[in-house]
Amino acid sequence: MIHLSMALALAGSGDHEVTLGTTLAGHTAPRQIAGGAGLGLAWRVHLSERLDAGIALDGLVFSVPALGTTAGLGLRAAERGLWQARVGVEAGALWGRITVLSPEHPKPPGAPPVGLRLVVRPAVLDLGDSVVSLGELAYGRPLEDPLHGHAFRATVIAVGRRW
Amino acid sequence: MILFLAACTPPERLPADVLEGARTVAGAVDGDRLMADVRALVAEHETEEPVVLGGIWEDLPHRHDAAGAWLGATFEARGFAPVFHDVDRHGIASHTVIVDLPGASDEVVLLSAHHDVWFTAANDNSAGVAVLLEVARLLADRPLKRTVRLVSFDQEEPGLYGSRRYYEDHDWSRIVAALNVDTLAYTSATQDQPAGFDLPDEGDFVSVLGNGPGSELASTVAQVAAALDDPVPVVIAVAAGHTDWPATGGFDTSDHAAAWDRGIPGLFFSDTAFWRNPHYHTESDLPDTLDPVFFRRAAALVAATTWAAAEAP
Repeated sequence: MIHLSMALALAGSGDHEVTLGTTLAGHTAPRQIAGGAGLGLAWRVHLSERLDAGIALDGLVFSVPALGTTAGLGLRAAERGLWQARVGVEAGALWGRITVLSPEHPKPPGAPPVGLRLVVRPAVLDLGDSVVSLGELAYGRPLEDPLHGHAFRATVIAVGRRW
Repeated sequence: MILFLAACTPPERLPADVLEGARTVAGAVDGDRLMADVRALVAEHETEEPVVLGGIWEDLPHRHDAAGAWLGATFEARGFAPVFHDVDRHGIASHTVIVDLPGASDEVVLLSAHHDVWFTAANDNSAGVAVLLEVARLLADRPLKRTVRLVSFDQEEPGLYGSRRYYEDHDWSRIVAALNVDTLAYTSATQDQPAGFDLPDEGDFVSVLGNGPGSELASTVAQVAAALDDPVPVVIAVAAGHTDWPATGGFDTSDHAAAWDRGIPGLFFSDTAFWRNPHYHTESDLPDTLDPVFFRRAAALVAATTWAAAEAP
């Protein structure tokens, strides 16, 4: 629902960037596991000279088929130019999971795996109408058990268009 | 959103009388009888000239007929009425052994193992067949709400032929739970870790894997394990959707796959096999390598879960 709200907000804002990339994402927590590798479609809006907002949709396979949804905010480290490093924060959910039950926890967690992650996009190349991003990495913790487990998302390469 | 909420509906808590019955069933499991049946099955395998199938199975010696015949005769000798699903297709003959413990309703809880082996395997899966015999003994004189169907599939090792043929040739619409046991009696000081999982370091637990529709059954196992007097450690994992993916390849490597392919709620009980057992699919898979105490406790979990699945509201 948050993702949907953000999408509607983005649709009416600033200039846009849509990329398609190869994505790895995972969520390993004591009671739920999800993730895999696949393709990720991202849509970002430049809200100001330094601030971006974006959402992403990932189709993943490996553990079980999973759909990843991500929403986040990013800051550009430099003014507009060919090279633009960005950092940010994002929340990501993975739909499609393995749940782990035990005598102490006989019921599956009610919510899907959600992680809160810090994002580094060190090599975003602005080529005018096109954009290429290499080596994006997001790492954080599962919201349901922040002290245990990992939540991550990595994009090896993403290419797309700006308008 | 509605689908999401439905998927998150918490499983029902089992009534106290069902859990008490499960505890009673578990307490009656006879470890000596289990091991005696394993030894008898291995002895039967030893009497049979193996067939080398070749191909991807290279020179592994496969045996099945003697154990199947022994199992049918043993069920009969113990007062049951086994029926046989004999099929010979594409040059592969399978002889599945089936015993029904009738219940009040036409719903069926199916508990399966396989009696064909590579070499003369004690753990894979004479142990599982011994569990079928023990569950038959334990539940035979108890009134059951649902029918408990004990099925020993044949030709599991070369490609799940017996189980796939069973589901192809029978009406499975009344099967509400498909429980499968394959390797259940080995413990190890160390436990290998499948990718993405954080299993205990010591291989002394039962692995219970479920499909998405089996989520309620998985909760049943957890509740039963919590109710037992002498519970075996258990790790229970339920995968959404189909499980034929790299990280969950181990989820459907046995006869329950045929049930899961049809969306039947199912669970797979094992000791994690090759993630723990160096004797897996070798000639050294012998009775003396098994852990009889662990086996009794693991069989108790299976028997109690079968009871609970048959008696649950």
